[in-house]
Amino acid sequence: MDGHEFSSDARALPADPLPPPPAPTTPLVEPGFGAILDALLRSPARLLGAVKEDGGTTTRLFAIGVIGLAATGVALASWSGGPQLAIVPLKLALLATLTALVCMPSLHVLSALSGGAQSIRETFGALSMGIALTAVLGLALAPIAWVLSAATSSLALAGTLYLAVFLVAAGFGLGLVRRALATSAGTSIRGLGAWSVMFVIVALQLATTLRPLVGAFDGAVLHDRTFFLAHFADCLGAS
Amino acid sequence: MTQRPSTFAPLALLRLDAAIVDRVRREDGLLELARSALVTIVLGAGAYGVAFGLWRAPEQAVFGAIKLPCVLVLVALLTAASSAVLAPLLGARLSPRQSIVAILASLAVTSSILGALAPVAIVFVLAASPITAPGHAAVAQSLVLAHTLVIAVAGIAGVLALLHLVARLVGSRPIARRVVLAWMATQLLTGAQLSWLLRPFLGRADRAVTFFSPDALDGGFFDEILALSAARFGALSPFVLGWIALVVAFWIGVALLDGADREVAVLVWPRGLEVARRGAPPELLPWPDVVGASVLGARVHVRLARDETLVVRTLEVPCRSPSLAADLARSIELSRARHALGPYR
Repeated sequence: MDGHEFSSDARALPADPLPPPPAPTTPLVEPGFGAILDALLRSPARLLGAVKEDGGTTTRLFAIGVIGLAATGVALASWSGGPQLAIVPLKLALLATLTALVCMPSLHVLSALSGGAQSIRETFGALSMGIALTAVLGLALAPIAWVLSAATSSLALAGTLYLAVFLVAAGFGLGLVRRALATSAGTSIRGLGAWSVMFVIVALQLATTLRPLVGAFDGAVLHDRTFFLAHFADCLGAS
Repeated sequence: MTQRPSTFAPLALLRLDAAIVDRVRREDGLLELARSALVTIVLGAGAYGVAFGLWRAPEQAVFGAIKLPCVLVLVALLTAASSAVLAPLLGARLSPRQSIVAILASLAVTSSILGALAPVAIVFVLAASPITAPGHAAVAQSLVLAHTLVIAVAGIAGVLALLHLVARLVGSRPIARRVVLAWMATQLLTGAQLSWLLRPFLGRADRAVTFFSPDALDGGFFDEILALSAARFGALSPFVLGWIALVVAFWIGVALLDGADREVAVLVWPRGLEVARRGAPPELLPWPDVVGASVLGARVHVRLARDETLVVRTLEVPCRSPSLAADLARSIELSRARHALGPYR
Protein backbone atom coordinates (compact mmCIF):
# COMPACT_ATOMS: atom_id res chain seq x y z
CA MET A 1 0.00 0.00 0.00
CA ASP A 2 1.31 3.45 -0.86
CA GLY A 3 1.31 5.50 2.30
CA HIS A 4 1.49 8.85 0.45
CA GLU A 5 -1.63 8.31 -1.63
CA PHE A 6 -3.46 6.78 1.28
CA SER A 7 -2.92 9.73 3.61
CA SER A 8 -3.44 12.52 1.07
CA ASP A 9 -6.75 11.08 -0.17
CA ALA A 10 -8.08 10.73 3.35
CA ARG A 11 -10.64 13.55 3.32
CA ALA A 12 -12.31 12.51 0.07
CA LEU A 13 -13.69 9.21 1.33
CA PRO A 14 -17.41 9.28 2.03
CA ALA A 15 -18.46 6.55 4.45
CA ASP A 16 -17.11 4.50 7.28
CA PRO A 17 -16.65 0.88 6.15
CA LEU A 18 -15.35 -0.54 9.40
CA PRO A 19 -17.51 -1.99 12.16
CA PRO A 20 -17.89 0.20 15.23
CA PRO A 21 -15.05 -0.17 17.71
CA PRO A 22 -15.80 -2.43 20.68
CA ALA A 23 -16.82 -0.72 23.89
CA PRO A 24 -13.76 -0.27 26.11
CA THR A 25 -13.68 -2.81 28.88
CA THR A 26 -11.22 -2.39 31.70
CA PRO A 27 -11.79 -5.16 34.18
CA LEU A 28 -9.65 -4.76 37.26
CA VAL A 29 -6.95 -7.21 38.17
CA GLU A 30 -7.67 -10.43 40.05
CA PRO A 31 -6.09 -10.45 43.50
CA GLY A 32 -3.67 -13.36 42.80
CA PHE A 33 0.07 -12.77 42.38
CA GLY A 34 0.01 -14.36 38.90
CA ALA A 35 -2.70 -12.00 37.63
CA ILE A 36 -0.84 -9.01 39.10
CA LEU A 37 2.39 -10.10 37.41
CA ASP A 38 0.61 -10.55 34.09
CA ALA A 39 -1.03 -7.12 34.38
CA LEU A 40 2.29 -5.54 35.38
CA LEU A 41 3.86 -6.71 32.12
CA ARG A 42 0.96 -6.55 29.69
CA SER A 43 -1.55 -3.96 30.90
CA PRO A 44 -0.31 -1.65 33.66
CA ALA A 45 -3.37 0.58 33.04
CA ARG A 46 -5.62 -2.09 34.60
CA LEU A 47 -3.18 -2.49 37.47
CA LEU A 48 -3.22 1.24 38.10
CA GLY A 49 -7.02 1.09 38.33
CA ALA A 50 -6.74 -1.75 40.86
CA VAL A 51 -4.16 0.22 42.88
CA LYS A 52 -6.58 3.17 43.09
CA GLU A 53 -9.43 0.99 44.34
CA ASP A 54 -7.71 -1.54 46.55
CA GLY A 55 -4.79 -1.07 48.95
CA GLY A 56 -4.13 -4.84 48.90
CA THR A 57 -2.91 -4.63 45.30
CA THR A 58 -0.21 -2.13 46.31
CA THR A 59 0.87 -4.41 49.18
CA ARG A 60 1.08 -7.38 46.81
CA LEU A 61 3.03 -5.33 44.26
CA PHE A 62 5.52 -4.25 46.90
CA ALA A 63 5.82 -7.87 48.07
CA ILE A 64 6.55 -8.94 44.47
CA GLY A 65 9.28 -6.29 44.35
CA VAL A 66 10.90 -7.34 47.62
CA ILE A 67 10.64 -11.10 46.98
CA GLY A 68 11.81 -10.70 43.37
CA LEU A 69 14.88 -8.71 44.40
CA ALA A 70 15.62 -11.24 47.14
CA ALA A 71 15.47 -14.04 44.54
CA THR A 72 17.81 -12.06 42.26
CA GLY A 73 20.10 -11.88 45.29
CA VAL A 74 20.53 -15.67 45.13
CA ALA A 75 22.02 -15.36 41.62
CA LEU A 76 24.18 -12.46 42.78
CA ALA A 77 25.43 -14.41 45.80
CA SER A 78 26.17 -17.54 43.79
CA TRP A 79 29.35 -15.85 42.51
CA SER A 80 30.95 -16.06 45.95
CA GLY A 81 28.72 -18.76 47.54
CA GLY A 82 28.82 -19.73 51.22
CA PRO A 83 26.88 -17.64 53.76
CA GLN A 84 26.28 -14.99 51.11
CA LEU A 85 23.58 -17.24 49.59
CA ALA A 86 21.45 -16.57 52.68
CA ILE A 87 22.57 -13.02 53.49
CA VAL A 88 22.54 -11.25 50.08
CA PRO A 89 18.81 -11.98 49.41
CA LEU A 90 17.97 -10.46 52.81
CA LYS A 91 20.20 -7.47 52.10
CA LEU A 92 18.54 -6.85 48.73
CA ALA A 93 15.05 -7.09 50.30
CA LEU A 94 16.17 -4.52 52.91
CA LEU A 95 17.74 -2.38 50.18
CA ALA A 96 14.47 -2.25 48.19
CA THR A 97 12.44 -1.34 51.28
CA LEU A 98 14.86 1.36 52.46
CA THR A 99 15.21 2.90 48.98
CA ALA A 100 11.41 3.07 48.62
CA LEU A 101 11.01 4.65 52.06
CA VAL A 102 13.77 7.21 51.46
CA CYS A 103 12.60 8.27 47.98
CA MET A 104 8.81 8.10 48.46
CA PRO A 105 8.30 11.56 50.11
CA SER A 106 10.24 13.40 47.39
CA LEU A 107 8.26 11.59 44.69
CA HIS A 108 4.92 12.63 46.19
CA VAL A 109 6.03 16.25 46.72
CA LEU A 110 7.40 16.46 43.16
CA SER A 111 4.11 15.12 41.84
CA ALA A 112 2.13 17.69 43.88
CA LEU A 113 4.39 20.47 42.57
CA SER A 114 3.43 19.50 39.01
CA GLY A 115 -0.28 19.72 39.87
CA GLY A 116 -0.91 16.03 40.56
CA ALA A 117 -3.84 15.55 42.95
CA GLN A 118 -3.50 11.82 43.53
CA SER A 119 -3.39 10.36 47.05
CA ILE A 120 -0.18 9.26 48.72
CA ARG A 121 -1.45 5.67 48.37
CA GLU A 122 -1.62 6.08 44.59
CA THR A 123 1.89 7.54 44.51
CA PHE A 124 3.14 4.60 46.57
CA GLY A 125 1.22 2.29 44.21
CA ALA A 126 3.04 3.80 41.21
CA LEU A 127 6.39 3.44 43.00
CA SER A 128 5.56 -0.16 43.94
CA MET A 129 4.74 -0.92 40.31
CA GLY A 130 8.17 0.38 39.31
CA ILE A 131 9.98 -1.60 42.04
CA ALA A 132 8.04 -4.76 41.15
CA LEU A 133 8.91 -4.37 37.46
CA THR A 134 12.58 -3.76 38.32
CA ALA A 135 12.57 -6.94 40.41
CA VAL A 136 10.81 -9.06 37.77
CA LEU A 137 13.14 -7.90 34.99
CA GLY A 138 16.18 -8.29 37.25
CA LEU A 139 15.10 -11.84 38.03
CA ALA A 140 14.52 -12.58 34.33
CA LEU A 141 17.98 -11.27 33.42
CA ALA A 142 19.67 -13.05 36.35
CA PRO A 143 20.33 -16.35 34.46
CA ILE A 144 22.21 -14.41 31.75
CA ALA A 145 24.25 -12.45 34.29
CA TRP A 146 24.90 -15.69 36.17
CA VAL A 147 26.26 -17.50 33.09
CA LEU A 148 28.38 -14.48 32.13
CA SER A 149 29.84 -14.07 35.62
CA ALA A 150 30.19 -17.76 36.55
CA ALA A 151 33.52 -18.28 34.80
CA THR A 152 35.19 -14.99 35.64
CA SER A 153 37.41 -14.54 38.67
CA SER A 154 37.31 -10.76 38.40
CA LEU A 155 35.19 -9.15 41.12
CA ALA A 156 35.07 -5.92 39.08
CA LEU A 157 33.71 -7.71 35.98
CA ALA A 158 31.11 -9.67 37.96
CA GLY A 159 30.08 -6.52 39.85
CA THR A 160 29.84 -4.51 36.62
CA LEU A 161 27.63 -7.20 35.05
CA TYR A 162 25.16 -7.18 37.93
CA LEU A 163 25.27 -3.37 38.03
CA ALA A 164 24.37 -3.32 34.32
CA VAL A 165 21.46 -5.72 34.98
CA PHE A 166 20.24 -3.43 37.80
CA LEU A 167 20.50 -0.32 35.62
CA VAL A 168 18.60 -1.91 32.72
CA ALA A 169 15.87 -3.22 35.05
CA ALA A 170 15.66 0.07 36.95
CA GLY A 171 15.41 1.95 33.63
CA PHE A 172 12.27 0.02 32.73
CA GLY A 173 10.92 0.23 36.32
CA LEU A 174 11.42 4.00 36.59
CA GLY A 175 9.87 4.44 33.14
CA LEU A 176 6.77 2.69 34.46
CA VAL A 177 6.72 4.93 37.57
CA ARG A 178 6.82 7.99 35.28
CA ARG A 179 3.98 6.71 33.06
CA ALA A 180 1.84 5.54 35.99
CA LEU A 181 2.23 8.83 37.85
CA ALA A 182 1.52 10.89 34.74
CA THR A 183 -1.67 8.86 34.21
CA SER A 184 -2.74 9.15 37.88
CA ALA A 185 -1.92 12.85 38.07
CA GLY A 186 -3.35 13.63 34.62
CA THR A 187 -0.22 15.60 33.79
CA SER A 188 3.43 14.86 33.15
CA ILE A 189 5.54 15.23 36.30
CA ARG A 190 8.33 17.80 35.93
CA GLY A 191 11.70 16.85 37.38
CA LEU A 192 11.00 13.13 37.39
CA GLY A 193 14.19 12.50 35.41
CA ALA A 194 16.24 14.10 38.21
CA TRP A 195 14.26 12.12 40.80
CA SER A 196 15.01 8.89 38.87
CA VAL A 197 18.75 9.66 38.98
CA MET A 198 18.43 10.34 42.71
CA PHE A 199 16.59 7.01 43.18
CA VAL A 200 19.40 5.11 41.45
CA ILE A 201 22.07 6.96 43.46
CA VAL A 202 20.25 6.20 46.73
CA ALA A 203 20.00 2.51 45.78
CA LEU A 204 23.71 2.36 44.86
CA GLN A 205 24.72 4.17 48.07
CA LEU A 206 22.63 1.79 50.20
CA ALA A 207 24.14 -1.16 48.30
CA THR A 208 27.60 0.21 49.18
CA THR A 209 26.57 0.61 52.82
CA LEU A 210 25.31 -3.00 52.91
CA ARG A 211 28.40 -4.38 51.10
CA PRO A 212 29.64 -6.93 50.21
CA LEU A 213 26.88 -8.02 47.82
CA VAL A 214 29.03 -9.66 45.14
CA GLY A 215 32.27 -10.45 47.01
CA ALA A 216 32.85 -13.04 49.70
CA PHE A 217 31.23 -12.84 53.15
CA ASP A 218 33.46 -10.96 55.60
CA GLY A 219 31.45 -10.72 58.81
CA ALA A 220 27.99 -9.51 59.75
CA VAL A 221 29.00 -5.91 60.44
CA LEU A 222 28.59 -2.66 58.55
CA HIS A 223 31.81 -1.46 56.98
CA ASP A 224 33.38 2.00 57.17
CA ARG A 225 31.29 4.75 55.65
CA THR A 226 32.25 5.54 52.09
CA PHE A 227 30.71 7.12 49.00
CA PHE A 228 29.61 4.58 46.38
CA LEU A 229 31.78 6.06 43.59
CA ALA A 230 34.88 5.83 45.84
CA HIS A 231 33.98 2.20 46.59
CA PHE A 232 33.56 1.38 42.89
CA ALA A 233 36.89 3.04 42.09
CA ASP A 234 38.55 0.96 44.85
CA CYS A 235 37.07 -2.26 43.42
CA LEU A 236 38.17 -1.42 39.87
CA GLY A 237 41.63 -0.45 41.09
CA ALA A 238 42.04 -3.68 43.08
CA SER A 239 41.22 -5.95 40.12
CA MET B 1 -8.87 -26.48 9.30
CA THR B 2 -5.11 -26.08 9.52
CA GLN B 3 -2.89 -29.11 9.23
CA ARG B 4 -0.65 -29.65 12.21
CA PRO B 5 3.00 -30.40 11.51
CA SER B 6 4.36 -33.69 12.69
CA THR B 7 6.91 -33.73 15.51
CA PHE B 8 9.71 -33.23 12.99
CA ALA B 9 8.74 -30.65 10.37
CA PRO B 10 11.78 -28.51 9.61
CA LEU B 11 10.53 -27.30 6.23
CA ALA B 12 7.21 -26.12 7.69
CA LEU B 13 9.17 -24.19 10.29
CA LEU B 14 11.52 -22.83 7.61
CA ARG B 15 8.59 -21.50 5.60
CA LEU B 16 6.86 -20.06 8.68
CA ASP B 17 3.71 -20.05 6.58
CA ALA B 18 0.34 -18.56 7.48
CA ALA B 19 -0.83 -21.78 9.17
CA ILE B 20 2.15 -21.81 11.56
CA VAL B 21 1.86 -18.08 12.30
CA ASP B 22 -1.86 -18.52 12.95
CA ARG B 23 -1.20 -21.41 15.33
CA VAL B 24 1.33 -19.37 17.29
CA ARG B 25 -1.11 -16.42 17.36
CA ARG B 26 -3.93 -18.65 18.69
CA GLU B 27 -1.51 -20.48 21.03
CA ASP B 28 -2.79 -23.72 19.55
CA GLY B 29 -0.51 -26.75 19.87
CA LEU B 30 2.53 -24.69 20.86
CA LEU B 31 4.05 -27.68 22.62
CA GLU B 32 4.08 -29.63 19.34
CA LEU B 33 5.70 -26.69 17.56
CA ALA B 34 8.31 -26.40 20.31
CA ARG B 35 9.00 -30.14 20.10
CA SER B 36 9.35 -29.93 16.32
CA ALA B 37 11.75 -26.97 16.67
CA LEU B 38 13.82 -28.82 19.29
CA VAL B 39 14.13 -31.93 17.09
CA THR B 40 15.20 -29.68 14.19
CA ILE B 41 17.80 -27.96 16.38
CA VAL B 42 19.22 -31.26 17.63
CA LEU B 43 19.46 -32.77 14.13
CA GLY B 44 20.49 -29.67 12.16
CA ALA B 45 23.00 -28.16 14.57
CA GLY B 46 24.16 -31.68 15.49
CA ALA B 47 24.99 -32.39 11.84
CA TYR B 48 27.03 -29.20 11.62
CA GLY B 49 28.72 -30.08 14.93
CA VAL B 50 30.01 -33.23 13.19
CA ALA B 51 31.51 -31.08 10.42
CA PHE B 52 33.09 -28.81 13.04
CA GLY B 53 34.90 -31.54 14.97
CA LEU B 54 35.62 -34.01 12.17
CA TRP B 55 38.92 -32.43 11.16
CA ARG B 56 40.45 -33.12 14.63
CA ALA B 57 39.15 -36.66 15.20
CA PRO B 58 35.94 -38.74 14.89
CA GLU B 59 35.45 -38.45 18.70
CA GLN B 60 35.62 -34.66 18.44
CA ALA B 61 32.93 -34.87 15.72
CA VAL B 62 30.67 -36.77 18.12
CA PHE B 63 31.33 -34.20 20.85
CA GLY B 64 30.56 -31.40 18.38
CA ALA B 65 27.29 -33.10 17.43
CA ILE B 66 26.29 -32.96 21.09
CA LYS B 67 27.70 -29.55 22.02
CA LEU B 68 26.48 -27.34 19.15
CA PRO B 69 22.77 -28.15 19.72
CA CYS B 70 23.44 -27.79 23.48
CA VAL B 71 24.66 -24.20 22.96
CA LEU B 72 21.51 -23.26 21.01
CA VAL B 73 19.10 -24.97 23.42
CA LEU B 74 20.86 -23.50 26.47
CA VAL B 75 20.75 -20.02 24.91
CA ALA B 76 16.98 -20.41 24.45
CA LEU B 77 16.61 -21.76 27.99
CA LEU B 78 18.70 -19.10 29.76
CA THR B 79 17.14 -16.21 27.86
CA ALA B 80 13.56 -17.54 28.01
CA ALA B 81 12.59 -15.54 31.10
CA SER B 82 14.12 -12.27 29.91
CA SER B 83 12.60 -12.69 26.43
CA ALA B 84 9.15 -13.34 27.91
CA VAL B 85 9.43 -10.24 30.14
CA LEU B 86 11.02 -7.92 27.56
CA ALA B 87 8.46 -8.58 24.79
CA PRO B 88 5.43 -7.01 26.55
CA LEU B 89 7.61 -4.24 27.99
CA LEU B 90 8.60 -3.24 24.46
CA GLY B 91 5.03 -3.17 23.24
CA ALA B 92 4.52 -6.68 21.84
CA ARG B 93 1.45 -8.39 23.21
CA LEU B 94 3.06 -11.82 23.24
CA SER B 95 2.53 -14.39 25.97
CA PRO B 96 5.63 -16.07 27.48
CA ARG B 97 4.78 -19.27 25.56
CA GLN B 98 4.51 -17.38 22.26
CA SER B 99 7.86 -15.66 22.88
CA ILE B 100 9.62 -18.93 23.64
CA VAL B 101 8.13 -20.74 20.63
CA ALA B 102 9.09 -17.82 18.35
CA ILE B 103 12.69 -18.01 19.57
CA LEU B 104 12.80 -21.81 19.20
CA ALA B 105 11.39 -21.48 15.67
CA SER B 106 14.12 -18.99 14.73
CA LEU B 107 16.81 -21.27 16.17
CA ALA B 108 15.24 -24.13 14.21
CA VAL B 109 15.59 -22.06 11.02
CA THR B 110 19.27 -21.46 11.86
CA SER B 111 19.74 -25.18 12.59
CA SER B 112 17.99 -26.26 9.38
CA ILE B 113 20.39 -24.13 7.34
CA LEU B 114 23.35 -25.48 9.32
CA GLY B 115 22.10 -29.03 8.77
CA ALA B 116 21.66 -28.40 5.05
CA LEU B 117 25.19 -27.00 4.76
CA ALA B 118 26.76 -29.76 6.91
CA PRO B 119 27.41 -32.15 3.94
CA VAL B 120 29.16 -29.33 2.04
CA ALA B 121 31.26 -28.48 5.09
CA ILE B 122 32.12 -32.16 5.64
CA VAL B 123 33.35 -32.46 2.04
CA PHE B 124 35.68 -29.47 2.50
CA VAL B 125 36.87 -30.70 5.92
CA LEU B 126 37.71 -34.13 4.47
CA ALA B 127 39.50 -32.48 1.55
CA ALA B 128 41.61 -30.24 3.81
CA SER B 129 45.16 -31.22 4.84
CA PRO B 130 44.96 -33.51 7.87
CA ILE B 131 45.88 -32.38 11.36
CA THR B 132 49.07 -34.47 11.21
CA ALA B 133 50.39 -32.63 8.12
CA PRO B 134 52.80 -29.70 8.39
CA GLY B 135 51.14 -26.29 8.32
CA HIS B 136 48.06 -27.54 10.14
CA ALA B 137 47.77 -24.29 12.11
CA ALA B 138 46.93 -22.33 8.95
CA VAL B 139 44.36 -24.97 7.96
CA ALA B 140 42.79 -24.77 11.43
CA GLN B 141 42.53 -20.98 11.17
CA SER B 142 40.89 -21.22 7.72
CA LEU B 143 38.42 -23.82 8.99
CA VAL B 144 37.49 -21.74 12.02
CA LEU B 145 36.92 -18.73 9.77
CA ALA B 146 34.81 -20.74 7.30
CA HIS B 147 32.70 -22.35 10.07
CA THR B 148 32.19 -18.95 11.72
CA LEU B 149 31.01 -17.49 8.41
CA VAL B 150 28.55 -20.35 7.84
CA ILE B 151 27.18 -20.03 11.38
CA ALA B 152 26.89 -16.25 10.98
CA VAL B 153 24.93 -16.63 7.72
CA ALA B 154 22.62 -19.22 9.29
CA GLY B 155 22.22 -16.99 12.36
CA ILE B 156 21.27 -13.98 10.22
CA ALA B 157 18.66 -16.11 8.41
CA GLY B 158 17.27 -17.14 11.82
CA VAL B 159 17.08 -13.52 12.98
CA LEU B 160 15.27 -12.48 9.77
CA ALA B 161 12.80 -15.34 10.23
CA LEU B 162 12.24 -14.25 13.83
CA LEU B 163 11.68 -10.65 12.75
CA HIS B 164 9.19 -11.79 10.11
CA LEU B 165 7.34 -14.03 12.58
CA VAL B 166 7.17 -11.44 15.39
CA ALA B 167 6.07 -8.69 12.95
CA ARG B 168 3.20 -10.87 11.78
CA LEU B 169 2.27 -11.79 15.36
CA VAL B 170 2.25 -8.25 16.77
CA GLY B 171 1.15 -6.45 13.56
CA SER B 172 3.80 -3.75 13.79
CA ARG B 173 7.26 -3.86 12.26
CA PRO B 174 8.81 -1.15 14.52
CA ILE B 175 7.69 -3.04 17.63
CA ALA B 176 8.94 -6.32 16.15
CA ARG B 177 12.33 -4.69 15.41
CA ARG B 178 12.59 -3.43 18.99
CA VAL B 179 11.71 -6.82 20.48
CA VAL B 180 14.03 -8.80 18.20
CA LEU B 181 16.88 -6.33 18.87
CA ALA B 182 16.48 -6.82 22.63
CA TRP B 183 16.25 -10.60 22.26
CA MET B 184 19.34 -10.67 20.03
CA ALA B 185 21.35 -8.60 22.50
CA THR B 186 20.67 -11.09 25.32
CA GLN B 187 21.15 -14.12 23.07
CA LEU B 188 24.46 -12.89 21.64
CA LEU B 189 25.88 -12.24 25.13
CA THR B 190 24.72 -15.62 26.41
CA GLY B 191 25.69 -17.52 23.25
CA ALA B 192 29.21 -16.07 23.21
CA GLN B 193 29.80 -17.08 26.82
CA LEU B 194 28.25 -20.56 26.40
CA SER B 195 30.32 -21.33 23.31
CA TRP B 196 33.37 -20.31 25.34
CA LEU B 197 32.39 -22.57 28.26
CA LEU B 198 31.67 -25.56 25.98
CA ARG B 199 34.89 -25.22 23.92
CA PRO B 200 36.67 -26.88 22.10
CA PHE B 201 34.56 -27.34 18.97
CA LEU B 202 37.34 -27.69 16.40
CA GLY B 203 40.00 -29.17 18.70
CA ARG B 204 43.74 -28.52 18.78
CA ALA B 205 46.58 -30.69 17.56
CA ASP B 206 48.62 -30.13 20.74
CA ARG B 207 45.81 -31.19 23.06
CA ALA B 208 43.98 -34.45 23.60
CA VAL B 209 40.42 -34.83 22.32
CA THR B 210 38.10 -33.76 25.15
CA PHE B 211 34.47 -32.93 25.65
CA PHE B 212 35.22 -29.98 27.95
CA SER B 213 38.42 -27.99 27.94
CA PRO B 214 40.33 -28.60 31.22
CA ASP B 215 40.35 -24.82 31.77
CA ALA B 216 36.69 -24.37 30.77
CA LEU B 217 35.79 -22.47 33.94
CA ASP B 218 39.01 -20.48 34.04
CA GLY B 219 38.03 -17.06 32.70
CA GLY B 220 35.25 -16.21 30.32
CA PHE B 221 34.64 -15.01 26.78
CA PHE B 222 34.79 -11.34 27.76
CA ASP B 223 37.83 -11.87 30.05
CA GLU B 224 39.58 -13.37 27.04
CA ILE B 225 38.57 -10.51 24.73
CA LEU B 226 39.88 -7.96 27.25
CA ALA B 227 43.12 -9.90 27.84
CA LEU B 228 43.72 -10.37 24.09
CA SER B 229 43.02 -6.71 23.44
CA ALA B 230 45.40 -5.60 26.22
CA ALA B 231 48.15 -7.93 24.97
CA ARG B 232 47.84 -6.89 21.33
CA PHE B 233 46.83 -3.22 21.45
CA GLY B 234 48.13 -2.00 24.82
CA ALA B 235 46.86 -1.56 28.36
CA LEU B 236 44.38 1.18 27.45
CA SER B 237 42.54 -0.88 24.83
CA PRO B 238 40.14 -2.60 27.34
CA PHE B 239 38.91 0.88 28.35
CA VAL B 240 38.46 1.78 24.66
CA LEU B 241 36.52 -1.47 24.16
CA GLY B 242 34.46 -0.65 27.26
CA TRP B 243 33.56 2.75 25.78
CA ILE B 244 32.64 1.16 22.46
CA ALA B 245 30.41 -1.32 24.34
CA LEU B 246 28.84 1.59 26.20
CA VAL B 247 28.10 3.46 22.94
CA VAL B 248 26.58 0.30 21.40
CA ALA B 249 24.49 -0.28 24.56
CA PHE B 250 23.34 3.36 24.44
CA TRP B 251 22.39 2.99 20.76
CA ILE B 252 20.45 -0.20 21.56
CA GLY B 253 18.74 1.62 24.45
CA VAL B 254 17.74 4.54 22.21
CA ALA B 255 16.46 2.15 19.55
CA LEU B 256 14.45 0.25 22.18
CA LEU B 257 12.92 3.36 23.71
CA ASP B 258 12.08 5.08 20.41
CA GLY B 259 8.28 5.08 20.60
CA ALA B 260 7.48 6.51 17.16
CA ASP B 261 5.64 4.30 14.68
CA ARG B 262 6.98 5.46 11.32
CA GLU B 263 5.76 5.02 7.76
CA VAL B 264 2.10 4.50 8.54
CA ALA B 265 -0.78 5.57 6.33
CA VAL B 266 -3.99 6.99 7.77
CA LEU B 267 -7.58 7.52 6.70
CA VAL B 268 -9.86 10.03 8.44
CA TRP B 269 -13.33 8.59 9.18
CA PRO B 270 -16.20 10.11 11.20
CA ARG B 271 -15.75 7.47 13.88
CA GLY B 272 -11.97 7.53 14.13
CA LEU B 273 -8.61 7.35 12.46
CA GLU B 274 -7.81 4.24 10.45
CA VAL B 275 -4.13 3.38 10.66
CA ALA B 276 -2.48 1.03 8.15
CA ARG B 277 0.99 -0.33 8.57
CA ARG B 278 2.87 -2.27 5.94
CA GLY B 279 2.04 -5.97 6.18
CA ALA B 280 -0.55 -5.57 8.94
CA PRO B 281 -4.34 -5.30 8.93
CA PRO B 282 -5.70 -1.75 9.37
CA GLU B 283 -6.63 -0.61 12.85
CA LEU B 284 -9.38 1.90 13.67
CA LEU B 285 -8.47 4.28 16.48
CA PRO B 286 -11.55 6.00 17.95
CA TRP B 287 -11.20 9.81 18.20
CA PRO B 288 -10.87 9.88 22.03
CA ASP B 289 -7.65 7.88 21.52
CA VAL B 290 -6.14 10.62 19.33
CA VAL B 291 -4.64 13.45 21.38
CA GLY B 292 -3.43 15.74 18.60
CA ALA B 293 -1.72 16.17 15.25
CA SER B 294 1.16 18.44 14.30
CA VAL B 295 3.12 19.04 11.11
CA LEU B 296 6.87 18.79 10.67
CA GLY B 297 7.86 19.39 7.05
CA ALA B 298 6.03 16.86 4.89
CA ARG B 299 5.21 14.63 7.86
CA VAL B 300 2.25 14.61 10.21
CA HIS B 301 2.91 13.54 13.79
CA VAL B 302 -0.21 12.06 15.38
CA ARG B 303 -0.07 11.75 19.17
CA LEU B 304 -2.19 9.02 20.71
CA ALA B 305 -3.63 8.70 24.21
CA ARG B 306 -2.01 6.37 26.71
CA ASP B 307 -2.81 2.77 25.86
CA GLU B 308 -3.13 -0.23 28.16
CA THR B 309 0.62 -0.23 28.73
CA LEU B 310 0.46 3.48 29.71
CA VAL B 311 2.72 4.35 26.76
CA VAL B 312 2.02 7.46 24.68
CA ARG B 313 2.54 6.44 21.06
CA THR B 314 3.30 8.78 18.16
CA LEU B 315 2.52 7.95 14.55
CA GLU B 316 4.52 9.53 11.76
CA VAL B 317 2.55 9.89 8.52
CA PRO B 318 4.64 10.78 5.44
CA CYS B 319 2.85 13.01 2.87
CA ARG B 320 3.74 14.14 -0.65
CA SER B 321 4.25 17.78 0.31
CA PRO B 322 4.16 20.07 3.37
CA SER B 323 0.85 21.56 2.19
CA LEU B 324 -0.77 18.10 2.00
CA ALA B 325 0.62 17.34 5.45
CA ALA B 326 -0.92 20.58 6.77
CA ASP B 327 -4.27 19.64 5.16
CA LEU B 328 -4.19 16.19 6.73
CA ALA B 329 -3.31 17.56 10.19
CA ARG B 330 -6.15 20.13 9.90
CA SER B 331 -8.56 17.38 8.86
CA ILE B 332 -7.56 15.27 11.88
CA GLU B 333 -7.95 18.22 14.25
CA LEU B 334 -11.37 19.11 12.78
CA SER B 335 -12.62 15.53 13.12
CA ARG B 336 -11.35 15.38 16.70
CA ALA B 337 -13.09 18.66 17.53
CA ARG B 338 -16.31 17.51 15.85
CA HIS B 339 -16.28 14.32 17.88
CA ALA B 340 -15.51 16.17 21.11
CA LEU B 341 -18.44 18.58 20.59
CA GLY B 342 -20.90 15.82 19.66
CA PRO B 343 -23.73 15.87 17.07
CA TYR B 344 -26.15 18.24 18.98
CA ARG B 345 -23.87 21.23 19.52
